[in-house]
Amino acid sequence: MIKEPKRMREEPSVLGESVAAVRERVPSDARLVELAARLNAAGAPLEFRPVPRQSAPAETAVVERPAPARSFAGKATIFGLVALGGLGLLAWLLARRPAHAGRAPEAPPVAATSARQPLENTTQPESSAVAGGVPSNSAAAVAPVESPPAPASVEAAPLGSGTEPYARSEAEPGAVASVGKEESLTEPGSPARAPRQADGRPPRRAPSGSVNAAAPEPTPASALAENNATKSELELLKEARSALAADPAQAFALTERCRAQYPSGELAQEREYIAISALVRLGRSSEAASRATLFRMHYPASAYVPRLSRLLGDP
Amino acid sequence: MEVNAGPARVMEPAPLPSFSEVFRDHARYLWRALLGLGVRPADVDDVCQEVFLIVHRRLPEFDGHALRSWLYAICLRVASEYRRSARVRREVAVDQVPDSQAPAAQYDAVLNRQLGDRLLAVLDRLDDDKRAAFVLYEIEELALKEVAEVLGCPLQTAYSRLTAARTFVRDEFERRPP
Repeated sequence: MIKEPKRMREEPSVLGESVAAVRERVPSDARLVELAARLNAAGAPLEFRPVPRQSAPAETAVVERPAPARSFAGKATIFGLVALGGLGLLAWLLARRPAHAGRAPEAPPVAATSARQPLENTTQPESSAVAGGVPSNSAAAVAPVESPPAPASVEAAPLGSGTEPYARSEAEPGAVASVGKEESLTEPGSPARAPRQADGRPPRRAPSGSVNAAAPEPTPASALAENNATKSELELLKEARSALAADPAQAFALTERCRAQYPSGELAQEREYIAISALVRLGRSSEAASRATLFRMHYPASAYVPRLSRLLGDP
Repeated sequence: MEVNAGPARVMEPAPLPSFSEVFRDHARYLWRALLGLGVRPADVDDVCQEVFLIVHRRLPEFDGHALRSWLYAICLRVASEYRRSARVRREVAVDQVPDSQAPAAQYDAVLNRQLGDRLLAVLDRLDDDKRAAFVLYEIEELALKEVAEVLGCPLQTAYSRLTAARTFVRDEFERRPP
């Protein structure tokens, strides 16, 4: 009896990762739709509609991100109700000043708002104030709406294109692990992290800010992130280009923000060129060279290639 | 290399799927297998189309047994013909691993691609039989028995080819670090 060897993909090695990487190379739904159309045209009629599970990674990401917010909002609801009940009971027991009983319903929204703010740290304070007058579970319904459409599979795009054929399938066990890996590999506090918080996903610190913790006021940084979250790719890059000479660090941060928000943006080449220029101005020549190498690899025919060579002083 | 013949014929054949069902359930994996079997990324769509035209033509004759093996066997033949006619060399970009200081989210995807490219480049140096055994078992994760069915060989032979392929790939990865 021949025993099947352990699959290499399960090995914690470069080889194992390489096998997993090849396994992830399945075509996108769009590519399959195109292939189906070609087969139809070639006399092999078939019907093909991508089933939801085939685009699950993107959908899962979109659905899953607000989930913690719902969870926390749910806790906020419970806390609010408990607070309501407690205050109501207290007011009833005291029963001295009926006005207290009337004040009781005001408490839950405050508690709910406090709980929600860490989750929506980039939402507008005005909306929080408005939402404070409604039950906290409505915030959970609002949270997904505020999330920009940034599927996880798109985030994996290296330079904004070229990975489409390798969209992950839910059926792939490695795909899920890979998504998790990408997240874990993203440096905490890196520029790419900010938009993830801005898209409605709770920040890592959120759980420690328990439901009854004091709500942090929206900081200028979060307001800035929110502001940038609403900007178009073009606006962000215009701003980055303007900042390039005077404040290359800010220019670089803007390109990173742009990359996180628009990983498949149409201006990926422009974005990378500005980012590399900023790195050069910041004296981070090693990083600039690495990114330039990647740029050349992805866009060998780009008009920016000779400009990059001049920028980096290549012969 | 008819895979329909074999000892497993005694099993009850599954109901014959429609062409649309075959495409829906298997297209993405056959596409990937073609990539592993040496079809250039730019050509995979064309070759995959060819595979499905054959599937469409031959599906009425299919006896309903071991559909997956039958499909991969077609893949194998088409990929083999492609390689014979195309004489394509895969480009390897293993010396361009980005700086570790680079933003992780972007470079991770590129590294992932490079890892995959590296393996595919190593597979290019394997002979067809061993490569097929490796791709079917390690990439497509077929059972060894299915691998033997697709390859049209005894189980022991499939095992030997797989073992040889694994040893080769492992050695190559150790011998030529990126």
